[in-house]
Amino acid sequence: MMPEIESAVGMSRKWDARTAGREVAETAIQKLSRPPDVFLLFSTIHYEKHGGFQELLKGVYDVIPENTPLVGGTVTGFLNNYGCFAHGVTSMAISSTDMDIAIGLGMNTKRNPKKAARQCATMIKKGLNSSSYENKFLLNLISAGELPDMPLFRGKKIIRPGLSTKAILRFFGFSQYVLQKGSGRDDEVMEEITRQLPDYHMLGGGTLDGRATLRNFQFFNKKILRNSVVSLGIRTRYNVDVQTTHNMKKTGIHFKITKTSKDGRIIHEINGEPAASEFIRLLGWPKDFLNEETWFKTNFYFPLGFHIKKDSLEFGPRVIGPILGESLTTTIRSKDPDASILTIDGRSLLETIDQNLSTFPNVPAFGLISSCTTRLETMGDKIYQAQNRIQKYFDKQPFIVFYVGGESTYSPKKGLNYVNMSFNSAIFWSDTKNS
Amino acid sequence: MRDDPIATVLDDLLRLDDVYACVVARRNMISVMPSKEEFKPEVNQIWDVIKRAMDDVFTVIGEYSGAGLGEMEFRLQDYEVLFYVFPDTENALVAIIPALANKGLLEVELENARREILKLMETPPTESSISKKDDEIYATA
Repeated sequence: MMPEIESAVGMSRKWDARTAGREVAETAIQKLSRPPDVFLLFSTIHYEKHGGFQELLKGVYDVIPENTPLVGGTVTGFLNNYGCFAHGVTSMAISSTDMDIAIGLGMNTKRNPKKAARQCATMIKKGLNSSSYENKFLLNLISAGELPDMPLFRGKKIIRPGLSTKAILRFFGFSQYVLQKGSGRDDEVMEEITRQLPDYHMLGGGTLDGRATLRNFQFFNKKILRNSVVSLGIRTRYNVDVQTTHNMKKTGIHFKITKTSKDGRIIHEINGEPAASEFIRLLGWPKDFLNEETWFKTNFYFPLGFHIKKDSLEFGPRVIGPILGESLTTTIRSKDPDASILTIDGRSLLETIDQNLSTFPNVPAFGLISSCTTRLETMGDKIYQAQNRIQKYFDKQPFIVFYVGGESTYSPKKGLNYVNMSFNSAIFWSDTKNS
Repeated sequence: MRDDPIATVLDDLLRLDDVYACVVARRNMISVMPSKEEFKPEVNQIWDVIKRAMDDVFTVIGEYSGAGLGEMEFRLQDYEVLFYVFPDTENALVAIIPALANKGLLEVELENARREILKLMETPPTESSISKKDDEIYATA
């Protein structure tokens, strides 16, 4: 008897975009007994310079049927049944007679995130409303923040205080709405999507480039997009659940956010003092300790903690983005002045995985996981230890962990979890397999 | 060198923007270079001093590789030199990267290269993959 659901992971490490596109499709569909009903694609940014993403998609469609729905985007790296990679492209092809599928697209997320979310949700509703399957899942890939492509920003995490920083902060407002260069506003996209489709389980992440944060891309069928949200909606008889874990520890350092930008994403003052200096003072670091050279070894281990929900005592990690003079940029709005500093170490980064996957007692059919790029960047080659743990859980079942910026899960029971530095899983399983 | 599969692995590494140079080496000997036998221009001016420092590091690698020494690195001016040791040998994959590179992402690819080279070392070489030059050995345990 044929399996009711088939899924397979494909991969290519070839440098030429067209060749890689063909290979990532071939390696996935050769494991299926019938054509895929949907194709997910996650690529590192490198193909931009090695033939372009259009060629990558042409390569994929050289192999898969013309009408196969495809969504995906650029990521800093990925981890799958084959290993861990910061260069290449991976895919998941899914085929099932027990599933209905629709894909959605919303444009201009940085200018009008609510409108984009509604456009996308409408397509999903239209595509899946007539489905009789009870279980609902949505994968959302949203363009993450991008810095304006100016020499001042290239390769820099810290812009020292000076006249230029005031000009930059003023420029950011213009840049955000006119050029769509600035914050991803993916949290706003997610809030609206969950309002539109409250009975879905969701997994999400912000598409990224490698290091520069200058541009990222979303894939929708044969289209290459920017500043968009692309979604895959599934209704199925298979069970699905989602889980977010981060395993951050409290340092016990609390503070008040006393001045922010209008949208709450740039923190100008903490405890009534210039934010960057006060952050460093609170941690007891020497004044010059946080710099370009120490960035990955300091900042990523001490994220800010914001209340995850109003009246909740739990703090969710928010990684500090570029520091503009004395202002700390964050990807998620601070809605509450009470905040703290969290911390983590390598062991806890790994334990997060076990904490997450142990909440699924079932044998997985397949899984998708969005994880924060900071986890990949801080663990480096030790990421193979993470892969071993994940591989152990999935055994031979297909999975992809894609590294993104700003990741989320939502379920009707647990609500929206939109955090940084986290591990977020969506696991599908069949009741019959476990009985 | 053109047909050397290890050189092909190094070629792939060198395609990454922030890998300025990469070799398989041991003390006083570069065993395999990328097939074009050239690095990115950024390292040319500092290559001689880096090479001397590398040789000193290989003394330590030779001493402690058998005890499980897996990785070493040093910073010289604006560059970092990373050594990924092949277990129980005096050989390492060496890469020169800018000090401000996103090292975490590069480490993932260096580890993949090390694993790939190890596999090649364990595979008996075919005639075409054997280097013709006496000093170009790459599987010297």
